[in-house]
Amino acid sequence: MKVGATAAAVAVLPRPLAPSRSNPLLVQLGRHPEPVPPIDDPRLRDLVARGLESARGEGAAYADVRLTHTRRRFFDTGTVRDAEDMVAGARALVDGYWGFASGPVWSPDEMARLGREASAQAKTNALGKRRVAELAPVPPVPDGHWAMPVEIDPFEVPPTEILDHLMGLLLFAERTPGVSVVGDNCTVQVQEKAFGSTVPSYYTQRTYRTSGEFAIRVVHDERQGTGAVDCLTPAGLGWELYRGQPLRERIARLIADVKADLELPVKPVDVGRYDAVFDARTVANLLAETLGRATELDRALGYEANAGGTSYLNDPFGMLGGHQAGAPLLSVFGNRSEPGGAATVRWDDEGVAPDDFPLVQDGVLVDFQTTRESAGWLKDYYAKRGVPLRSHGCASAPSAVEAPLQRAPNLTMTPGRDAVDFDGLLTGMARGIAVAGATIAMDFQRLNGMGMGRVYEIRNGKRVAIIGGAGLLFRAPELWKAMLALGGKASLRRYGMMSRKGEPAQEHTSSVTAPPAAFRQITVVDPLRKA
Amino acid sequence: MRSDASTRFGALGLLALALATAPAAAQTSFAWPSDTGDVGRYTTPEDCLAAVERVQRQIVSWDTVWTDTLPLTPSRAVAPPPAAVTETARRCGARFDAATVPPTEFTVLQPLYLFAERDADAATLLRRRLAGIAPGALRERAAVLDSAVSGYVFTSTGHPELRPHPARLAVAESLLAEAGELPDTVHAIQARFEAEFQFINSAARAGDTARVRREVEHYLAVVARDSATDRGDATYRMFAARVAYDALIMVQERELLDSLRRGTAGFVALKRAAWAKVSGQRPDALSIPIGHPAPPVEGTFWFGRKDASAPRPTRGNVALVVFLDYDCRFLSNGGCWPIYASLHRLAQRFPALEVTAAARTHGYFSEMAPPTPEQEATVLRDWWQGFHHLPGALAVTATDFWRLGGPDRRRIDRPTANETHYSFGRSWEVRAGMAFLVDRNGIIVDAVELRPEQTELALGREIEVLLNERGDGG
Amino acid sequence: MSTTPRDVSSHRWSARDGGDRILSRAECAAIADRIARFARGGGDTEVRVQSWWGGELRWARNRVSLASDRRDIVVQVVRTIRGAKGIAQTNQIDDASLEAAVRVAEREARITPTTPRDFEMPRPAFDYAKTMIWSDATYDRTAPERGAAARALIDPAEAAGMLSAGYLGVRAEATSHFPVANPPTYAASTRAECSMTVRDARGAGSGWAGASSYDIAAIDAPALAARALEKCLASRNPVALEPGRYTVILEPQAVHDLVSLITQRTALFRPFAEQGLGSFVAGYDDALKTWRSKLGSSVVDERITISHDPADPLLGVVPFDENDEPYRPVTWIDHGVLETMYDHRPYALQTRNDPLGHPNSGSYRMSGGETSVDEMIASTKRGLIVTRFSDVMLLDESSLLATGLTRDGLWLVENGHITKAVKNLRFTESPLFVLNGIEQLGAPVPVFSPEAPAIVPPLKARDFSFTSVIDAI
Repeated sequence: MKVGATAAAVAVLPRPLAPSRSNPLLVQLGRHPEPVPPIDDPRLRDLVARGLESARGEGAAYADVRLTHTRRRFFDTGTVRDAEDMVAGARALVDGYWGFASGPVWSPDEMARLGREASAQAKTNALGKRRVAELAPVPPVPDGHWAMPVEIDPFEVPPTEILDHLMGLLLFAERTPGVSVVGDNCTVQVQEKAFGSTVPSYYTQRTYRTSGEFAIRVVHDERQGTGAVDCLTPAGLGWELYRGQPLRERIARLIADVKADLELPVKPVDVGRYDAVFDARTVANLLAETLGRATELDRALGYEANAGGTSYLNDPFGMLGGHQAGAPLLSVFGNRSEPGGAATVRWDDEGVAPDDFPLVQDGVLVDFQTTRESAGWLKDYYAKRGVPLRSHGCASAPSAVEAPLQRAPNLTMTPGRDAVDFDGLLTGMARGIAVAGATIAMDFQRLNGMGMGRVYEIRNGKRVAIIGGAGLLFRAPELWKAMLALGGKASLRRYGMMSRKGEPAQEHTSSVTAPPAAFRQITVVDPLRKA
Repeated sequence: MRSDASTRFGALGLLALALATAPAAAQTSFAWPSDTGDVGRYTTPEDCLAAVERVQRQIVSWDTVWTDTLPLTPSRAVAPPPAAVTETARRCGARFDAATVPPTEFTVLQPLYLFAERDADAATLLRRRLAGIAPGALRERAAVLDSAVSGYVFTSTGHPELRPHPARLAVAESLLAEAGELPDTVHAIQARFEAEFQFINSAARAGDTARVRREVEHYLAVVARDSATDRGDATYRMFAARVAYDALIMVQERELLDSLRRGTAGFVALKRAAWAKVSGQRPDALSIPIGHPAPPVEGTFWFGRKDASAPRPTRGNVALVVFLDYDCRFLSNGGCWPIYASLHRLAQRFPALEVTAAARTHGYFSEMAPPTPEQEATVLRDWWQGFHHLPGALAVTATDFWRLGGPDRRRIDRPTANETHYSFGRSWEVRAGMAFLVDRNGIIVDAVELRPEQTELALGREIEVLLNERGDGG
Repeated sequence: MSTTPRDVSSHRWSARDGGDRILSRAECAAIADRIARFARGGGDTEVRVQSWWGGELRWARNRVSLASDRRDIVVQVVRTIRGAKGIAQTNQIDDASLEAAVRVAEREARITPTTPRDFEMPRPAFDYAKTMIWSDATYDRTAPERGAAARALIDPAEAAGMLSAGYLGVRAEATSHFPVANPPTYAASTRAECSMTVRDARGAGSGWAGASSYDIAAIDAPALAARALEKCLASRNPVALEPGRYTVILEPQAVHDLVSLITQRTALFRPFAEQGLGSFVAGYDDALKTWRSKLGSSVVDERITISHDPADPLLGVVPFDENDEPYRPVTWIDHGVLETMYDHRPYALQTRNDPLGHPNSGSYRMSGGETSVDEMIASTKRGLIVTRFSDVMLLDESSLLATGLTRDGLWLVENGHITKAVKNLRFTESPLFVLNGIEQLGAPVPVFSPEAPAIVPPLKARDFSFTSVIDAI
């Protein structure tokens, strides 16, 4: 790279991957390598402390250190795969600048190196220009230990039992003539984490994530259709994701739904505007892709401008408390506490115990997703509202090898008061459309979107035809303002969703809970039609 | 890394490791709770069936991966399942009481009960299932009976691994009789044929020719009635005719072998008559090219032929002409390897049998593209005669082919002379694994697709007659 | 396992084998060797070892938001015992972890159904191209140097009162494979990438520029900074334009965003086309009973040639794919004619006796012409200039119809002059249609494509279909 002759000649630290290659280590907690201890072994605290001291010694005003040990097991019809990794990462804040260092070795020397390196990384970026990073206050966690409560630890279940259950579901589905199973797999993960910061805080935490796929193809009256159950999306659950819900009933229901679709006539797209009812999946996807992303405060302020983009909520300070983000019946809350939530934790990756907080209340934008640093940007707003300045605990990274970013908490949309479901919302619709399972593609400000899913023509509350290849075109603020009615509490569904953010991109999983909803005048287009 | 050597070192290495790192009580790496699990905790018949299938496949694969190189044991068809499979089915299925489970679970509980050797429970549940059908619902009754027959002799789950062994022929036969009493009009033709076909096939595999004989008559009657009412479509009628023909040949085997002792012409006439009987066509419409003179095999390259001047098959010898191909992706059940095993066994059993393998070049072999047909032929020889120890002579035809023009360059193979000659005006398509048995006069006695448990045995009996019991001429 | 992996990397590699932040050949071989010794119960062992290091820097709102130094390892063990496979992955290279990984792969194999005769056959040795994928300059670029570079990238925007956000990353990676019956492979490579977005403080305009190369010295930072800023300033306060068909002047990055739908996905996959799938199917040949692809047919404008030579110093890639098959010089499209489609050895061997297939690295060079973008503008009566596309999504495999958005700079050209900035538009268009409607072509230049380098010209094309207005900036 051609830069001026200004590059400071500071030597980097070319360190070996392991303290000694001739004697590779297990984990080195003291003087000798030894087998990996459980995460709550008190000696890991010393390891973390070593990184913190080292960062501090190099001038860090704040530092945090994480150790993660992640196990993953993947089951596909008849086969099982295992993966395991252990990484360590240190983050340091020096003069308002952040530095980060990480690697695969757990040892005192390596922790010292990571702490030093993180501070060094931070320092090299100051170079005379002032940057202020005010971290929102956080109560110290002196010695926290938490394990996500799961009913069945998937790593305690014999792998053969999981394989047999997956195959059993396949045999069950294929009892129905014309049905063949095209996807039948399951992934389980457990992550153990030790975290320490100069607050000072120290905690250990074990979180689980389980997800699966069950997809079928149905040949019915010489027509062919496909479908997948939507109740196996990633969740903060153990093996009870499979055992704790009536999965066979869901599969039977799926088969019936696909068959019902195959019995409907297919109509071409008649471009226009229609009153519409969206199923819970579509509403959840819309929420995740619009407000879910747009209320990331760092994104709204341009921190992701070069990656995923910015936000249509582009003036956080001016909009908070007054901006109409949707119809008055729209309320959206963030949390990282709900049992089973894919983003559920006891503490986030900055040692913050997340709170449950409103993002949109009665249609008005009232808050953003925050970390300790970004919460500080809203100091004045919080003061004005008379609420204490705090992070909502949204700092998260997939493992210690990545630096934390502000990521989505679990989102929940408040359901309607009336006990009405998807079909109930259709009742009374003389003419319109219903949309199921739509995937959503938004622009880089999360403003304009396109949706594609199964679109039905509705006449007098009944599905009378499938509109082949129909797409939805909308602007996010108008869409949420056009929301007319919501399904009741019983119609709420939760989905775990993956998202990417940052450079290099990091994956994150969070849950979105939403009811089906009715909307006024939604634009239907044919996405395949050129201008 | 091929690990023949490292296997031995592996054990030493492990020992060294165990000494070096002491008890790894705290080591969490890759811990597995158990390799087996407790199937007694399973709650659905499907999960149990999955366990049965898994255990069966594990045992089968661990024990029989290489069986095609071992002596053929036809008794496998009538042997009970391995103890571990039975035990899994028993333990897992214990909670499913045939007297109280919903009768609609019969489809999945039938195989589970049979694997557990709980035949009485299977029968109880079937009776409950049938009892639950309204008296007038004859179609439903027919469907349940036909699928129950399939379940007793083959599989009603769509998973061949869940086939009960041995097949329960007696009970299946009585159910077939029960189904036979229903009017044909209530049966779904496909299900009907499948049940009959599977029954006959299973009886034949088990060597129970008495049952095959009884059922084939019954079956022929069904086919005849079906043809008469013109209810099924032509495809099914032809399928039915072939099944019936195979069954009839099985039933008449003694008679056929007797006639073969007297001469090939009578043998061929009998077979053609059988075809006429089941198909309603003329006797010579039988598509199998028996009774024809065997064309001499041609080859660009010959290997293992003692007398280069004598045509193959050689007059005066009982001969087998078999078509081989390196690539048998289109063959089910393990591709070419079972064919090699069959050939191997036949040659061992009948040293006087003259075997001629016919093959062609394709321009590639495994991971290589041999630069010339000659080199490819040499590789084929190394593969079949060197590695697989196949008997007899190998004729390799450097094939005529042409390439699609332009950058496409795909190779389109033309039939070889051997393939053309042996297809007899395309009444018979020559593929890898096709074997032609030729008598001492050069007349084709039988033409089959070589499969260990089916055609290999029948072919062996014919070869035995030709070699030992017929002196001459016939 | 005494063989040392073949050295297949660039000319300078031997001097810096492994460095200290990624694993060397010898270290990878030693790991594989230890793994082989842990194997029990016979069978075969296959090992892959990867290691990477990254030095990264992000900035936003004109300040560095994070600088980092990261590294990790992935060791994959495949145990095949009597035809049953077990696969385990770890990032720890101590004996206990490797031994545990081997054990778990064996336990997996024990409960996995077998595919008896599926074993790796020896194949002829491959010759790999000497490719330019290692740069000491990239590997040696220090954190303070990266910080200084970021400052130089940010300063012009800040001085102009704009907000700059961007990413500057260097990375080194070593990948090795120890197959069962064939020679091991090893390659080490570096990568540098820089991209930045400059926005107006009120969010009224946005400009982007990016560059990537294995060699950080090839990235012209001041030029990037200037381009992103210039685009931002010029894109402010856009006006809305009716969607419809427009003549478009696509900058190289925009052309790449479309053409990569052809080069980097399955469109060129020969086995698909020869099964009647995808966009390059000519039809079913009843006489031959086979599907014919469009190989040999003209598929785009005759001025277009799309090719890749792994030895091209600007288009270096690790010279083999995940099956160790070599990337070879290849011309996919030759003067508009579909000349080659990609496939792998088994398919190439079986269908046309080609001892080598044509794996596709995704890297490519597209031919151009002599018209500068300025000349394209000057000769345009009415049209749009596109900086790049974002969120491109394939809608139809058979026509390559795709949809996506313009981003970071869209302008209207009227009577030979840029007249105004235009609000972003959603397009619905196929790259094949664009490449058949070319009016003018410019000089090809390297574009931002960190994973698979590409050299692409700007072009002017007719009747590009924009389907709706996207008033996002």
